[in-house]
Amino acid sequence: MYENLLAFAEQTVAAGTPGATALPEALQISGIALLAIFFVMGLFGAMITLFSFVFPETDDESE
Amino acid sequence: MDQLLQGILDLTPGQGIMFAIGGLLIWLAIAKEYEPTLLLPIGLGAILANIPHSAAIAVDGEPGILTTLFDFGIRTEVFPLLIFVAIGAMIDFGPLLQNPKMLLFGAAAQFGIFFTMCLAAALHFTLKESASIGIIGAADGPTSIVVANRFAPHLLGPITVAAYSYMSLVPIIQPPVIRLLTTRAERLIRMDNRQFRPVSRRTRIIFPIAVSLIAGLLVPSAVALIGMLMFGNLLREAGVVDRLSKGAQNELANIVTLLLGISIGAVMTADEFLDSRTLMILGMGIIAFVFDTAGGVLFAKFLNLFLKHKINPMVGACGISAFPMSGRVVYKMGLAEDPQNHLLMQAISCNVGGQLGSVVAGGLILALVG
Repeated sequence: MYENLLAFAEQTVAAGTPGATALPEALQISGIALLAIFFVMGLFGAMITLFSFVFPETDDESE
Repeated sequence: MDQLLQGILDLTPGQGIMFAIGGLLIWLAIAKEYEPTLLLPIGLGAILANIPHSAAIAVDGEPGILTTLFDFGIRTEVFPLLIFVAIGAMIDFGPLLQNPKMLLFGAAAQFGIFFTMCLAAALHFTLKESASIGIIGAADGPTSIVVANRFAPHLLGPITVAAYSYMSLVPIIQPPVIRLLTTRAERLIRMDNRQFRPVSRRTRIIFPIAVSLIAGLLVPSAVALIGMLMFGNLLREAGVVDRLSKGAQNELANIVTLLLGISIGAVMTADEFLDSRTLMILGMGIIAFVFDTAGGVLFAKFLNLFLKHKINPMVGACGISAFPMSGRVVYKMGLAEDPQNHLLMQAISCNVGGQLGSVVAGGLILALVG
């Protein structure tokens, strides 16, 4: 009886309670993703700036 | 005789409503010119998919034309990825390369994606469904389709309709949000065009290759999205395959857009589309666009606290993808405030950054949620 109740409790926790939402996980992922986007875009920006020094526009190669 | 009447006799009220929704999409496309290249085929696709016993969906138990197109083009993600090749070939990254700090707005204006994702999660959508709903805020149809197809294929119809409808409504959605968050003095800020440095052809050619490499190494799940976008751009910038570049911009874009639109209609069946969750998704889609805009504007205001040469905060709103609509909206708003204030270069460079930002956001969501 006790084992059955314990198994039922574990199943309930694993499945999530009816009121539970994915909000905590969504918040965590959102925070990481926003930081990662700024990092990646900043990296692209740094890369472009580096290219502009390494490959400057010349008169015979103007865009 | 019974067979002839079978279609009429088996028609359900839900299917009737879907005919009306399909008709509404066609009307919006033709009368209002809201994203007609997509909404027109989606609208007709929705009508064809909801005709009882439609041969477009199934013939004698075998997949019909719409189901076949959907399985081939959407389920495998071939169509949205091919659209990226076309978009890459159409986009001139020049203004962004000339002023790379605008890339940061392409990051800030993705805020709506994550706000909406959290909102959807709070409303008891699963994490994967929430991510698919949030990605409407990428303001980028193909990214929305790829993410939704991967995480919540059952929500693909409403998510696609929301993404494309709101992209066409950017001129209506963005201006009030921008006005609400800025003062007139801020909207009158003039920006220095000398920030735009000339860019060499080598930089233009190396850029798509380097972006593919960096993004691919950091976020491998984004390789397909960014790789296809950058492939199209490389065709454009290489200067030696003009025929391919023009083919991607015209023939490829037209054919794939046509097939993509009508295939999306295949999933807009009454039993899947007519759900209270569809209304919630449509509502959250608009919230995503509003918070994207707010994210970009508020980030510009934040940067202005530290900058000597101030940024017009309206430009931050262009970090939303929706290229080039958002750039045009802000340019016109700038002119309306001050006819001598030409923000076109800044707005377009920021908007191009937004296109890149939305694809990166899509790749990150695929990596973090998947």
